[in-house]
Amino acid sequence: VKEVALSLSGAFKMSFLQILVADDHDLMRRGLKSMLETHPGWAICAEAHTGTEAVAKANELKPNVAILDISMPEMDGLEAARQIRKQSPRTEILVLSMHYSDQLIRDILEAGVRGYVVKSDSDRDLVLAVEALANHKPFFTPHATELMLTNLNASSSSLINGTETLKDRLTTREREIIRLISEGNSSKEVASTLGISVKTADTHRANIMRKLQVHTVSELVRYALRNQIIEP
Amino acid sequence: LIADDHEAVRRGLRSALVGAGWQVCGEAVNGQEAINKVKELLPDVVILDISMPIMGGLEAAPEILKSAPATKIVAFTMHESQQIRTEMARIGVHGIAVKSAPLSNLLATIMSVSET
Repeated sequence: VKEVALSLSGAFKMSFLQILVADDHDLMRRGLKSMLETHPGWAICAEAHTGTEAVAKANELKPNVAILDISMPEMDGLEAARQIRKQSPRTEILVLSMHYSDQLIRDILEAGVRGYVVKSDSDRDLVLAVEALANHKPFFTPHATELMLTNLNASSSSLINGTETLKDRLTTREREIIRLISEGNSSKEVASTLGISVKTADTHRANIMRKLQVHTVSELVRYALRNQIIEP
Repeated sequence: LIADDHEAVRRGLRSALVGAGWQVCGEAVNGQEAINKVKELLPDVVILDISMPIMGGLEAAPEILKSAPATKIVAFTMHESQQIRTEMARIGVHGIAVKSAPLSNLLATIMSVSET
């Protein structure tokens, strides 16, 4: 929390939570500002009416929390969230939208947003959401969480049924070969360890590279680390 | 008087109205409360959200017109349509303002109805 020095009797300091509010509707900005400012220790450090303005002000002021309306002119809240997370990673983002949407939840999670409130629930949830985000904890309403879990289940099931899982993409033998190559073994050593010909080992290696769309051993090692095929 | 079920909207309206030099005598969160407060406070103007729980603005407006004939009603709505305009005119609502429009439009509407 940014510290703002208050020279009252010259001797004490108070911390304010710095909040940026971005909404293209003057009415909502005023209302949100009024709701938040009644909370002790919170201050609105900036207001923005477009995504571009929100990004510029967040970059300049590095607020603790940025509240972004999804639908704004010039740049929407989603793109603004992506850019703010990149330029000011300590700034937590709360997205406000008119309705719940599972696609929007997917998008905002990918953008690094950790709080989502629909405007009609803002009376109840806004302060709770800002409190959570101020402590770098996520805030999603039960309805939003339900949508997220539905997405997750759908996505898991498509991975299991599709061609994207590691299990389906790679055979057990191929996983083993990835492990051996990632540990620094040559094709000859892989062949020797597995009791196969060098030509077969090379064929497996080429298949793995094609399936994973990687071109170098270092890319393969990164893949193996990311997917816990080898330990770091 | 401000009647809207959302706190952020009520606060935004209050801030804008006070900033424009008007006095907000009360707030209501549904149509029934709006009717009661209009009877009690007899405001010059009531800003009445169309969509509120328990009782919406369209249902509250006739009762308000009956119990406080001098009070002007500005219907406040998310979307404007010919159907809403026709219904408002039938009820006898004095003005209509759209939530997504600039606040200056709402202030102009209030000014206009309060002068008639």
